[in-house]
Amino acid sequence: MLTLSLFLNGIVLGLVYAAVALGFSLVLGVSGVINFAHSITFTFGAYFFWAMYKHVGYLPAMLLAPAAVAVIGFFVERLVIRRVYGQDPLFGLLITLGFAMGMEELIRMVFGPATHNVDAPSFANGVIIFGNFLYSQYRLFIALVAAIMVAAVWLFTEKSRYGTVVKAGMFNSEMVGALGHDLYKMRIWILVLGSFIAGLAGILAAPIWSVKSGMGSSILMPSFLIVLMGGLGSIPGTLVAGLMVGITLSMGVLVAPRFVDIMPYILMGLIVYFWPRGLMGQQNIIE
Amino acid sequence: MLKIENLDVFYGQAQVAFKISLHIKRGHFVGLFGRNGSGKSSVFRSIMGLKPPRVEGRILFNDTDITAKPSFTISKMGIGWVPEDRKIFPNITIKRNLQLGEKSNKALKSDRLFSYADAYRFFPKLYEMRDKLGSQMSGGEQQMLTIARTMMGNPSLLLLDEPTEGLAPNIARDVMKMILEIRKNFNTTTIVVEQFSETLLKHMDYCYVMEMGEIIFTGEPRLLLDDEGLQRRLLGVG
Ligand SMILES: Nc1ncnc2c1ncn2[C@@H]1O[C@H](COP(=O)(O)OP(=O)(O)OP(=O)(O)O)[C@@H](O)[C@H]1O
Ligand SMILES: [Mg+2]
Repeated sequence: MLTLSLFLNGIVLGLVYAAVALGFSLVLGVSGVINFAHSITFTFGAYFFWAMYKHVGYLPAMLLAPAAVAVIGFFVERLVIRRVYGQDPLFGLLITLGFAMGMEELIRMVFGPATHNVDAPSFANGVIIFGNFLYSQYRLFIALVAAIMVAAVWLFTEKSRYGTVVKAGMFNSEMVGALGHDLYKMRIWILVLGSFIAGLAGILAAPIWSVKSGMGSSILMPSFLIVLMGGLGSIPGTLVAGLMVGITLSMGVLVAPRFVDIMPYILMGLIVYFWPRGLMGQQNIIE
Repeated sequence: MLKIENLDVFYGQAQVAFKISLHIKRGHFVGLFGRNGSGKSSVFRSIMGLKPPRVEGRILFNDTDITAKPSFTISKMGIGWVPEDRKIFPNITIKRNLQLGEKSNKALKSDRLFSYADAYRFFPKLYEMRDKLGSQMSGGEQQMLTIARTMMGNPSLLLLDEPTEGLAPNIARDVMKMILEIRKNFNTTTIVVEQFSETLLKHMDYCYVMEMGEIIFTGEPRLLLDDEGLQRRLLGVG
């Protein structure tokens, strides 16, 4: 039973990671920027939600907080990220990492260093019982919302007209521009979309991990690993890699509790050794 | 229709084209020939506003200065570019590759628009393969797709960069036939970059030859057809 619980926890965690990593991957794909500021959208989502959910209600806050995060994403693009388009990817990485660290400080200044707690919503506050197995309703709710987000993004890229432009842009953005599609606009939209999703993921995680200024940093590395493992711009790849990391972290405690933290890195090393472009990638991230 | 005045082209500090001037008339079929590395593709990239390179000088399209405008703007104004090395999108289907060539602005004036039906009529292979991924195409098929994809945007000026490069002779012949066929049907002003092509030259209205970043020949095709010495130089056998 413990094994099953841990396995399910791993899936839930993996779906949240995958949702965060998707935004990371899409932005990297269409803009060529390794956006380490992506982590603060996760943190902001949780803080905004914490600040408003008791006043406006759980579900409205679940929409309003990510929307506010999306606006932040918009300004981050305008003020920071657009400066590094077309430059050495290292610039983008450094400038966004610096920006994220600054924002983390700002959050500590504004909201204080203390950890805040968020209650699970009343409609998902109990346990589900299957025979003699109990599982948290709230975790199932997280899994559901995260899975919907991943599926929605997948549908968008596979089925919509604009999604085709995005997919092509991940492969060769110069060619997409030369065919008459406005890349600058596309880059903004993708960043806004990625910010919204990561903001929502931060909200989902809040009742379990609680709200703290460092929560973004703690998800940054796993999501970066997932992008490398899944393959740039591949949504199925990101999902599979997310689940692998989630399950590894969660079940790893059964095998070697002291080494859990390093396991995703080993996994990444193995995968990138055998599949340099990630599990389902068509391009290396710096090609 | 297109007027390039004293164009200098740079990659970083290195200058690769010097005081290039081209004058392309509406409806014309023009050749831009030259050996490897002479700077032909860089001129096309400059027209399309792509970076790199960096340019100095002036590029006028229908009397509007388009020098270093963003490429999507230039594309929307009606210049279509078929790059060297094809550049299809391997991760989406052929139909969607074609769809990407369509323009959202319906301000297209031409009375005869290039449609999916045209793409499939000129290149029946594309119809057969329409639901396959771009990655499943051969080189010749990819070349046909890039031409059709750019034509989907109904450009008034078409830039073709080495459309027969690396193709088997019979496939290259098919591609050239299609280019001439499309021109006959749509009368699109076209500039073709090749090292040299006698087949195409015979249908051209005008041609230029570049060497080491400079225009070394400008004139009627027959002058070049008569100049066997220059032809040999272009083909690298002289
Ligand atoms: N991205 C780049 N960075 C630096 N130099 C470049 C770049 N692209 C081209 N060059 C240089 O510019 C010069 C002209 O190259 P260009 O590709 O325009 O020639 P080309 O006539 O199209 O040749 P080819 O027939 O081989 O396609 C060459 O010396 C080339 O090395
Ligand atoms: Mg070239």
